[in-house]
Amino acid sequence: MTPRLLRVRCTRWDQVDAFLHKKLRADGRLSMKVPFVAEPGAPVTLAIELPNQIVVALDGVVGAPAQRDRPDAAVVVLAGAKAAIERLSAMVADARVGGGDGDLSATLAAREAELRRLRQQAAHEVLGCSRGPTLEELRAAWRQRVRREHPDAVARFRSAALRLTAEETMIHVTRAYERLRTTVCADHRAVIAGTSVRTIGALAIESHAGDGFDVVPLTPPVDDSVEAIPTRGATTPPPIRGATMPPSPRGATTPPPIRGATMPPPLASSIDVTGLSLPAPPTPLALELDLPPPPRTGATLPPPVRPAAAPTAAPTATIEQSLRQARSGPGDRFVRAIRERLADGDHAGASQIATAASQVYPKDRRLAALVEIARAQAACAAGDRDLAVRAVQAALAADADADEAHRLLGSLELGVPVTVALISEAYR
Amino acid sequence: MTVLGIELGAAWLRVATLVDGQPRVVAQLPAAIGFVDGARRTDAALAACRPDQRLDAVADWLARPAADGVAGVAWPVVDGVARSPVELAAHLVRAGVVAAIAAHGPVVGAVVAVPLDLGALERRVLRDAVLAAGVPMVRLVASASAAAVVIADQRPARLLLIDRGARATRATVVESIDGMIDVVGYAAAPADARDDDPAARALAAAAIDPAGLSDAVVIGGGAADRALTARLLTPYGHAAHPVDDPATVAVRGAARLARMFVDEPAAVTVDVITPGFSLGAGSALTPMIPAGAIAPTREVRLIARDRADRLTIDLELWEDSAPPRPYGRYRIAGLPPGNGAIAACEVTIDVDRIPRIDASDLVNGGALAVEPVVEVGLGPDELAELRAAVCEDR
Repeated sequence: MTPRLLRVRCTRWDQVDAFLHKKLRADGRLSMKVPFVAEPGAPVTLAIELPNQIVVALDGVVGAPAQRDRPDAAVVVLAGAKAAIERLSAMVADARVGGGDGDLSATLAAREAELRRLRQQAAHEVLGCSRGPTLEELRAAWRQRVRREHPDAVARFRSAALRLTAEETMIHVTRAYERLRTTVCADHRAVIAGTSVRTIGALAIESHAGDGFDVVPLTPPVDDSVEAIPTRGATTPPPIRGATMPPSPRGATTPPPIRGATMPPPLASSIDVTGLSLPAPPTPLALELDLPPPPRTGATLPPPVRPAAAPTAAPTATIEQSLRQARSGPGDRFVRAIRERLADGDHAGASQIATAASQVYPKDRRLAALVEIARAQAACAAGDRDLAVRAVQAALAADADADEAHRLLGSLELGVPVTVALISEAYR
Repeated sequence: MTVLGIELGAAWLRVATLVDGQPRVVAQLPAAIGFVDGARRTDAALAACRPDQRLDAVADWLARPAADGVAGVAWPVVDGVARSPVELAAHLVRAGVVAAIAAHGPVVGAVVAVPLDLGALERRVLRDAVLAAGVPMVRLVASASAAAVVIADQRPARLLLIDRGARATRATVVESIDGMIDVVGYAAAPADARDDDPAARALAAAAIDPAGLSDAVVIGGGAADRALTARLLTPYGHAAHPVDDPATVAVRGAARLARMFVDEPAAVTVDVITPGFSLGAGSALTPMIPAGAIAPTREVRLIARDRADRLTIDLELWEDSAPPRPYGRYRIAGLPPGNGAIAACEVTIDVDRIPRIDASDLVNGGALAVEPVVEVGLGPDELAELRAAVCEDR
């Protein structure tokens, strides 16, 4: 006969304590209401869910009620109750030594409030350093934050919720650190080394393609006229790039060394909108970045572009030109670089720059629109008219003044064939 | 309250705990597992196994790139049956943990010292195995970081740690400052590679001159060879440092770190992700988590479906080792019908460097179900078997 399962859920340790000392008797008898007809001798399993997500299961049987038991409740006689009571009592005592419920609740609330606060802050405010920190200042600020926010620092509470909150905070803090670290490196002042950042010149640095970390020397750019964005991907290029799948395990005839390592048939249900990669939820940045070009390594970085033509002011500016100038902002150089790549048909490069630049200047509508246009060009390359139309619509939603997007949408609605050149021409 | 440090090495599985506040090795089992008539044998019971009935150096099999197996290297055959290395490792770890629990009572948490370059799959298996053995909280840290806890002993230090194991030499540059330990340089080479000096590569990766080191120490089984130790350290101008029992320094450090489950942590440890992860969707495999990112970390990618009437999206997560290794295939379900549905797919690498995938609807922000279709590692049936074996052991 399958035992009936009875659950007792305790969300706080004082509830566990009350259950052990007020509800459960020393002889293992427990009087409780049950959602079934309790016949004496029927097997039951009592599952006690503890605040630390552990479930303690005790086997027993339905017993005969005594005179003092309530008539509407069943009596359960548990086996091994004495040992269980001792063990659970020890766990309650441990929890109290470790801070107890009140401490945990207060700590969790404080950590969640701190996370909300950090999400509103700029990168340097998250770390508590100046806008343009020195290497030492940056690293010391990050260390100080990590010591306080790391999941290890709250492990003593043995709470999954607290661990997750600490992990979220740590992600946020580290993202701010990596962003500032990249900025420092882009100024040619340092290189990234593991978790650290080092000044250049102390050691002859080589890049190894081995199995360890690679130091990525950020050497001066090849062309000062090139506008680009330093990204984490650019400083530490991942080993896999491009649009092809790695060697597929499909068709392996020998048993795989891991369970289910042989993947089922190919995926055909989705399109990876690579151009829409969002490396991070935007951290509000108060940085005024004047970034030099990053190293151009790896196959996916956009190819060098022609030097941008120096803007020449028209002798008699029209109202339209004035409006356009009024829309210009700090992201101008990025806009030019993206447009050049679009004109060259390099939608991957345009997307990479646009995505990164829109994080640096999250309020720049032109950059937001160009992210979508790059995606539209990728869709054109794949011959997907619907996706291209939706992307151009999204570009117009981001920036209603984007003339090229208006023209593109008109062309697409007229049924012009979707080609990469269609968008290249529009942005040439 | 007992806490454990655990290390699965090529030759030994070691378990340490804190006795009067000091780490002490309390269980040491051969890192081998045997089978007699289908029943598993560990520790002293291995004596009853014939050579073809036992597998030595389980960790060595565990550390093999899984993709090698996919490409044609079969599972180890033990007692006439091809067996999964990850399952064998899980049962071995379980045996060590159960032995420690039997001797010292219930355990509240454990820290497992693992090689820095251990794959995500193996990390998940080890964590699941320790959890299945009845340890409620588990944390995985780099062996070098654990060793640095003991060697630095709360002093500011920048250490070059050379772990001379049976199969590989791993060199790590670790900084220990103000209660935080982080890895700033790492390199590895096969133990028999004579013309490769991983220590030099680790220093170059850390952009640190040997003169900038506070100490250089050889740990692991190779540390017993004094001539070898001197040869390894000479290029860096450091004499052999007298470390008490260098073979067990990592597991003792893990036990000291495990104090975090009952008290203020001895130190917090920070790892760098290597290798990175890529996400496969449609016909493309695109980089997701770059190598070199600091754990924990998270990246988001937007995925659109190819047809408006499709309500699911299939994804694959791959580890960017050479060659790349599959980690799992997932299905995002619950997308609303109609045009414009885009899923925001999040890949989070947790503090133990184990990935998880979440997804949300970009339009309304609602969470989408992510169902594992194929996921490597231990499945529910294997975990249930592990738990049953734990109950039998007790």
